[in-house]
Amino acid sequence: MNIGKGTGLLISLLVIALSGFILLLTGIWYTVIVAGLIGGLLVRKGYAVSVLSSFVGGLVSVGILLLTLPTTYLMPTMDEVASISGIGVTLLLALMFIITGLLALSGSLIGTFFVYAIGGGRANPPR
Amino acid sequence: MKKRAIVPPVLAVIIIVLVFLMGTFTPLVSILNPDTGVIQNSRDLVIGNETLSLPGLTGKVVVIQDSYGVYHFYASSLQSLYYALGFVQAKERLEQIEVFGLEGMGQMSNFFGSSYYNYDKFQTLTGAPITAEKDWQSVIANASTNSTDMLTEEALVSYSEGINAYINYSNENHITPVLFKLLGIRPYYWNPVYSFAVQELMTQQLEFGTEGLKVSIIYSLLGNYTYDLLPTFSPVQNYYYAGYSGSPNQTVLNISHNTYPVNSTVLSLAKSLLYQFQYDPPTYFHMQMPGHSNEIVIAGNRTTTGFPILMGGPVLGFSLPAIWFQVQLVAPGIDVYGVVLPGAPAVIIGFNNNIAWTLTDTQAIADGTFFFVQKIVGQDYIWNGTEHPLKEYKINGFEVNWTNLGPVMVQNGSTAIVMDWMGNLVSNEIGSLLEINTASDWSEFKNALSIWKAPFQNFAFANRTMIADISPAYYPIFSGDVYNPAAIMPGNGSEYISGSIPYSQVPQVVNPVQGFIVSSNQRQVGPSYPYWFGMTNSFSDGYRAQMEVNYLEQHPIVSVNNIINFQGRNYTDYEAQAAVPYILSYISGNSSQLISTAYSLLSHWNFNMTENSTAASVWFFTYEYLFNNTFLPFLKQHGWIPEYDDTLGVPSGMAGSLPNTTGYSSMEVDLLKVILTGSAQPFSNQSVKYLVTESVAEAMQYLESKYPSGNYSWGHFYGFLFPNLFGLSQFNVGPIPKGGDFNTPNDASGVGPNNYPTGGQSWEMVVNLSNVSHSYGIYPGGQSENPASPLYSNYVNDWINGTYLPLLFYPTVASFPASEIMAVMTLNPGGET
Repeated sequence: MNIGKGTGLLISLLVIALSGFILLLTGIWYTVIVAGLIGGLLVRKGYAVSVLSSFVGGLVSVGILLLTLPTTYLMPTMDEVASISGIGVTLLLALMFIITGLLALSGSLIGTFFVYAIGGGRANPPR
Repeated sequence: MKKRAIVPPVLAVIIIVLVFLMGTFTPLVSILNPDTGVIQNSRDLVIGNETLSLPGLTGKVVVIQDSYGVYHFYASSLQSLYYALGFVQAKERLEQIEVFGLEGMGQMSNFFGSSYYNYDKFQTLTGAPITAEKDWQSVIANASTNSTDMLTEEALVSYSEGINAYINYSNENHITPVLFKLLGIRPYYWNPVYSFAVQELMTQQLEFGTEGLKVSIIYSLLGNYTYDLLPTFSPVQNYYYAGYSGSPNQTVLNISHNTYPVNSTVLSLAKSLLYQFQYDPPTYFHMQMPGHSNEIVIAGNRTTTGFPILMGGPVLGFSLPAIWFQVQLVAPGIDVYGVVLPGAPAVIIGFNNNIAWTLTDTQAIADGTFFFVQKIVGQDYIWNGTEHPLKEYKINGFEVNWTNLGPVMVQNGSTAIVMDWMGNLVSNEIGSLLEINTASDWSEFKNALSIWKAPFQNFAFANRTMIADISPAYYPIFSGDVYNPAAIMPGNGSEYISGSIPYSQVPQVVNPVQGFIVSSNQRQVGPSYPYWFGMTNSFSDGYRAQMEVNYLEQHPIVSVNNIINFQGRNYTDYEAQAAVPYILSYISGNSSQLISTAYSLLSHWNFNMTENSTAASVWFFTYEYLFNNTFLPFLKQHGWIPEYDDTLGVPSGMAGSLPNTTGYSSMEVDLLKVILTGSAQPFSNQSVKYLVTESVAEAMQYLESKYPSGNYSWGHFYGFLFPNLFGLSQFNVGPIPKGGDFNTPNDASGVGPNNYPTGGQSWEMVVNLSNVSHSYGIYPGGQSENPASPLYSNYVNDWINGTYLPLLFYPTVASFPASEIMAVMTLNPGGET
């Protein structure tokens, strides 16, 4: 199916976010790489779309997971961890999001590379 | 392929490697993992109804958490009851339970690294882990023939299974407590030996000490002045709950005044051992604060209800989470309410439908810890001139040698100091408490306590028709040469423990004529008691008990509310009441402005240590300066100060209330005697008038320098600090100002700003025997150990304000009013093992 770049971005983001959320439930954080890989392989719209959708998709997957937790006690718990670890709550949460985004991003980069180098697809489709 | 085409996959690999390295060298990846990391712990804080299927549970248990946070367990069998208790207690207190187990077993390094090596080594050396194992093996061996051991086995095995079920459950659900996740460790599985290790740990907190070492050193410095400084009988105590207030028993007095003279090698070993004792307890997990507890029981003919009232207030070190966990346990044959310890399933202090009881530490009898000099040649010790092989234990990676008297604590060549600690007697105090939980009368209660050996405790008892108190324990009787057991004794066989005071002769009283019993750490028996029962040095001066006796004598009829207010909000200092009139007479007419101010304040004072009282501050610091001026020059003159500052400590008044000082209760009674008699001999050649005048002047100068213009109210100096158990100061609560001092019912030693008390009434309970459902209690803390939980420290303010909470006591789930329920947890048998 020939889809536009914007639509591709959206689809890729949704695929990565949802698959990322499901993979996060395995408890193995590194599996988010697979979510990015899936996005990169399925939506062949080049590196720009791949990078953006995978990183944001990774962030969204964590966001969905957080929505499953009781909000009343989320911040007190993070405050507790921050106090013990000496790392601020904001930084802890930011790290959680960023690491997930980066893992998805790395998978996506590999997926897109495979599309370009092995699958014969275009890494940077014509304008 | 263009070269730059490989940049993206290389970048991806770099990212993955960096994250992997971060996860390898820091705990960040595991704790921040969104699905298994710390944020998942927020799920565990939700308070709501839930139903769980638990492997190994034999019957359904309904657990109601009442509106105050207290758990009520309704089980179909004893096994399922103790299983559920283990599960729920672990849910709220797993970190605490695990740390207590490690602390008792001397295995702290397992969690906290090599910085606990010295603690683990010392704890292993004391014998506590070895005795915990022996205790459990004894229970197993006798369970088929001894009903108490059978009950203990059943309870401890089920309780362990419950704790372990929660460990598995929390692991599967990624809600293992935060501390474990941050430390990157997994909880270890509980077993009954750890429960006995907790018992050992509590015995160490309450009945384990260095008096024997200190008295020997003091005797080497002071000679016979030792008996003036550390008298056997208090010159001022006059209330002994178990009687014997006649003339001093000369045989007993002779024993105390016959201290074994030790040589310089032994003194050096004693000093070395005192250093080792500083590893107990570990500074990180502060608990030690005995010697201030309250225990009052009042007969029905002196109460407004016509039935007895029992008041308990055991003083222990404060921590968040608190040491206690508040529960009601219901199953066929048992319906008991009270507080349990982390790691032990018996209600320690509480009540059931028929009886109520509470505990305090006894006047300590050399801390139940006796030291002997014993000769060791190679792998043998000498006893009665004969060589016997040392018994060698290898535990926790350490080697410990025992003689017939106990562990070899320290050795130089062939000279060793061996410790005979009553906590090392193989015994089953957990079983004793389990039996008490279901006792229905005094006979059953007393019978259950007949196996109690240590720690030395007073047990107050009440039912609807009678009151009683008993101090059961293995109080040793010494035979042979009989040197002072409160000092180091010869360990060659010439002096030995030949048995214990018969159970029928241990301190006890039933329905005394005065209609009340007070056993608040004072010596239980008077000077005519026929057995050696320690010296005044360990450990309560008896002023608080005397104040409680005075209150009850002045109030012939009391209500439950009277007693609650008495323990929670009465700040009368008995010692001040006795001493201040004399102090006023000593400073009367002095022309100094500061002393005139002090005179004016003290002469209008009601002896209450209230927060807003300036006279209270004047009294306290006058007392402290008077203590110093009376004793410290004397101790300097005899070489105690400064040579032994780091082992004997620098004494200060009110149990070492000043920073970096040590309490000696003997000196408290000495000082009151000095004030009352007007003679400071043999401690000082100065007149008491001079000492008091100087002390008042110094106290006033200090107070004016700290808070000028008379703004030195007591609230500036006294308040309570509740430290986080794990040393996380950001989760401390306080210090919160409160009235009182070392001598008042709600008491502790220490003053701010650098020495706020971190201990006090750890569980305040008033049981109304006319209807136990109308009883009240409070402990400073909360049911949860999690600082993020609303139940972490929710009782603290009520405790500070002296507000007791109703102890809801309903026999069945159906009878529990919905309005008083916070949440219901239903535990069903099932699930995979």
